[in-house]
Amino acid sequence: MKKNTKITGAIAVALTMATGLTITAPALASSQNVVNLITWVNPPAVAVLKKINTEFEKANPGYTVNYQTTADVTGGYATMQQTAVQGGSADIMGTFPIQPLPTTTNQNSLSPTQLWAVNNVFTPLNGQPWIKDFNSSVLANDQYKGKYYGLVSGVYQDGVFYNKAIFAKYHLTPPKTFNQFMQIAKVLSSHHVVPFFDGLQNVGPLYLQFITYPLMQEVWLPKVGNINTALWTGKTKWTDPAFITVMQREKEVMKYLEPNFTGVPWQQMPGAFANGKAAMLLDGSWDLPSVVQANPHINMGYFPFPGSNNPKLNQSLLQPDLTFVVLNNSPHKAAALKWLNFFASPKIYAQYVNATGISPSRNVGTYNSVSSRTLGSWFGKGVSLATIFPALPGSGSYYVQPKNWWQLQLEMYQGKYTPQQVAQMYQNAWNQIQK
Amino acid sequence: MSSIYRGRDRIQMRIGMAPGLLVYFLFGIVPSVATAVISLTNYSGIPGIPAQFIGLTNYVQAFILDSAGLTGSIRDTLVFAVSVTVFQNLFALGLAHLFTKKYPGRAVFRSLVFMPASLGVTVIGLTWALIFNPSGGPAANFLSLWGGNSAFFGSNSLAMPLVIFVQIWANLGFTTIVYLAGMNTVPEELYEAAKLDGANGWRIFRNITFPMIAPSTTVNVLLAAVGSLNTYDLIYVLTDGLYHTNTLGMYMFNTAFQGSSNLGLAAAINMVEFAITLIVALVLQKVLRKREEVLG
Amino acid sequence: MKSASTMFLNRKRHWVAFIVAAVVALLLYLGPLTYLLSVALQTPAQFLNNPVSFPHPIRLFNFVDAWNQATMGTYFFNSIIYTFFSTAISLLFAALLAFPVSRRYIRGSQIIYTLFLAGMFLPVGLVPLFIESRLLDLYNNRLGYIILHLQYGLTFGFFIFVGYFRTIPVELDESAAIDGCGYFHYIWRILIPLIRPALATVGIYVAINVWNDLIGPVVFLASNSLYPLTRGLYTFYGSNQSDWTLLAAGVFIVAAPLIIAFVFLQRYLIAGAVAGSLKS
Repeated sequence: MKKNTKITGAIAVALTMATGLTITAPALASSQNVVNLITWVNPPAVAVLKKINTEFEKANPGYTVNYQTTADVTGGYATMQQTAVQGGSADIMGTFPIQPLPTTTNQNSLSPTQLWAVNNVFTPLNGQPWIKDFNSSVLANDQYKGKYYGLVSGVYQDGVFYNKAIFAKYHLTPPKTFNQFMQIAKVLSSHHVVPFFDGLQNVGPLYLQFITYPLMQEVWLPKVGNINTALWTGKTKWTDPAFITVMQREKEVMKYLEPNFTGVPWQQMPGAFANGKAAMLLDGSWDLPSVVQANPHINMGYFPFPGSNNPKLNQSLLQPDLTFVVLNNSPHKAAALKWLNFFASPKIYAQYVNATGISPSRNVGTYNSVSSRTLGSWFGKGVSLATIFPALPGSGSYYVQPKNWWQLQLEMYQGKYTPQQVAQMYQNAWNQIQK
Repeated sequence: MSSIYRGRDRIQMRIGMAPGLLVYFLFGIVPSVATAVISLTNYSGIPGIPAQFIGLTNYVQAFILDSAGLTGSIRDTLVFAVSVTVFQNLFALGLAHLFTKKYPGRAVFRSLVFMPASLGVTVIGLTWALIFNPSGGPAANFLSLWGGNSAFFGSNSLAMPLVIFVQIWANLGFTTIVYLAGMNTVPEELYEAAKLDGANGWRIFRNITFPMIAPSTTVNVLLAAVGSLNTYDLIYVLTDGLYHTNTLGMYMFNTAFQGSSNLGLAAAINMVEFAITLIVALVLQKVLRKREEVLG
Repeated sequence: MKSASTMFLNRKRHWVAFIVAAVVALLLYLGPLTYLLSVALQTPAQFLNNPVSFPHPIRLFNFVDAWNQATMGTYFFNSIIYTFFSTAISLLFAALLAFPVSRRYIRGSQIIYTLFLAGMFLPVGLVPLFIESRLLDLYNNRLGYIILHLQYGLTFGFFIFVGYFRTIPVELDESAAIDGCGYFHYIWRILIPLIRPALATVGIYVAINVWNDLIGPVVFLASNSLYPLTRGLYTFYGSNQSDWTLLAAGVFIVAAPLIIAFVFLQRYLIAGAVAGSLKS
């Protein structure tokens, strides 16, 4: 008897020890006063959100915020979102806005975030006290059938960040037209200065967006109006001559990127630009704090990507960014809404804007950040991405899945396909998901 | 069959077996069978949307509508698996042959080559990513001595060869040790007899060593082939399947867990991967065993 | 005479081959780790301008920084817990299952063995495992993560132990039973010590497998505080803009104990590789 209890005892000890481990795990505590928050990693945003969480806990005794982050938007974070939605491991989830939805909604034509919105995974936020303080056209990026699903924390601005010292050295001034833009690139490369910096490793060809989006906005949008809806309604097609022009110009710009840009990790972009490895950085304003961190003495300026030869059409591009949604399966909904309200309060929100360099979505407020200084009169002004580019479905037809859409852009640059062939492949895939 | 264990002992025996069987059933059998079932549904993983049985739609999607993705992925898988299997075994044979000779420092070199066995894909992947950093990494510096440059893991032509190289780098030691063990079992008299007949090194290797280590070859080829057909963790770290390194495993993982909501399609891709692995494993096993019999 | 001279030539050729192989091995196998260490000791400024040079000045602070920023302490703790428990439990389960099957003490032994064998050819169902992990509440918690990692050690251990138990004479079972030794006691006190060499070899392979798993924590864990080293390091990589010196320090912190462990455990690893090859 005694002998046998020893081994069963050993198993029991092992099992109880293992069980005990789950109890010590801090995640998913059952108390009502907990907010589980997840976002992807954008270092300045992560740092300031941690600070805001501490202030939230101080202002609301008894409340705790569990904040979790993971690598990049395309990779690890998508997994984290997927598992949060399915496993209920988060109350507030960072997303990109759902954007205006296509006219016909089937599973093949929607991005995962859109599918979640359509299927009531998110809690409607109408009537929340902060709604009236926020820019309704920005919030509209996360609206579906009259319901607001997210707090769009702000917009980042795409464009060209340039090193003023290098421009001065070669007597260059910010260009107003596409031709001037290419002329500047030519001058710089004749002096063996890399004109543009953009790193594609790890995020893959997705970061070509800093070239493609503004070109679409400045060449295609003026012709058809809202490209997103025009594509869904069939008013325009991917084979539109304007989009062919976009791709041809894209090829011209890419010629002036740093050598081997497909193998350069995106993490290196701000550091390389800050240290003079290139005259211009093609990026979003979210990277500005990292640029300044890498070289506090850099003197940089900004101009909208001049995709058109008509200067009036060259506008700053606004990308609605980190959007907080409250998950419907959250056991801590009240606490989550409390957190959102706290975040939206003027002082806290100003902290967020100043630390991240995001352009504000709140109507009133004064800010002083690297971005507000660098972007100058463009700060917060421009054309919203939602009118330019449709949210690509995650599943569905191959060439309109996000990863493959961008891969094809790169292959077009590398000469595997002509712009016309690429346009036709997009259109065929597009026809398929519209069925 | 009667057992010496009766009564309480017999109950204990059954109790002891239960957890192992349960684990195997839950995490071995159920997921394997369920993959086939899920591949016939449109399971999206979205709460509140029930999975529907949609027949072979996912396979139609994979094979016909998205054929560009699948054929590319199958091509990448085969290039990866064949190269890894062939070169890993060739290099390991050469190394093992060298290690049979008593050179000074032999043990140290053997350990060095075997060391990655303990490192794991994260350390291995990040280390090589650092070395092949196109702006200023040592590999880029080395190339620039000859005026060359490359995007390495971001290059359409070089990403796959490099991924193959790192995979072989990581597993070469294990394969070598297995060959070495085989070579050490070859009786010394055979070599001596051959030398008396005037056979030279290459002929001895061809006619004696290589046939005698046929069982090691079988193990190594099978392990390398099946392993490389299914692995994708290293590729996940190095390229995430971009630049023509999108093996079936990577394609499945990206479809299931990276932005897509189509777990059914991912399961279908997994089934394709499984079918290819099964065919390759059975054919190889048959061929290699036959070879062992002929030689043995 | 002739044979002596060809032997001499052979010798010479072998030496050349060996020296070439040695240099290549040093360059390819020691080189990357040396470079990693060198970058880990550089300042960001040096790395940006001249990464392939000896670190000057030597900056040890990267290690401290990486350890703190990446919360390596937590990751180490998690890795140790996951590895120890899933290895120990899976091998115990494997031994308890392998013994009656290898002796055919139970009806259906052959079926169980065949089932395990067939399992080697079945697809690894990551998608269903992910769904299962949530249904069974194994998702994103430590116990669940351990349970989800039992499968590998169980199958691997099962095959090795079935073979190993066959080398132990049946008479031992019988005499122990006659002496009134209970079943569990017999396994724990007599058999487990007897299979210790196999246990060590299998255990080390299983432990390395669990310790180094990256896909597992990517799919089954979501909380930073639950990540093992592999996922923690990967997350650190994704979040450190342009700071390769810090990242290299992080990679080195993770690699160092693995290298040290390798030095001490390599004879078991070699034994395992050899056993695997001779078995077939």
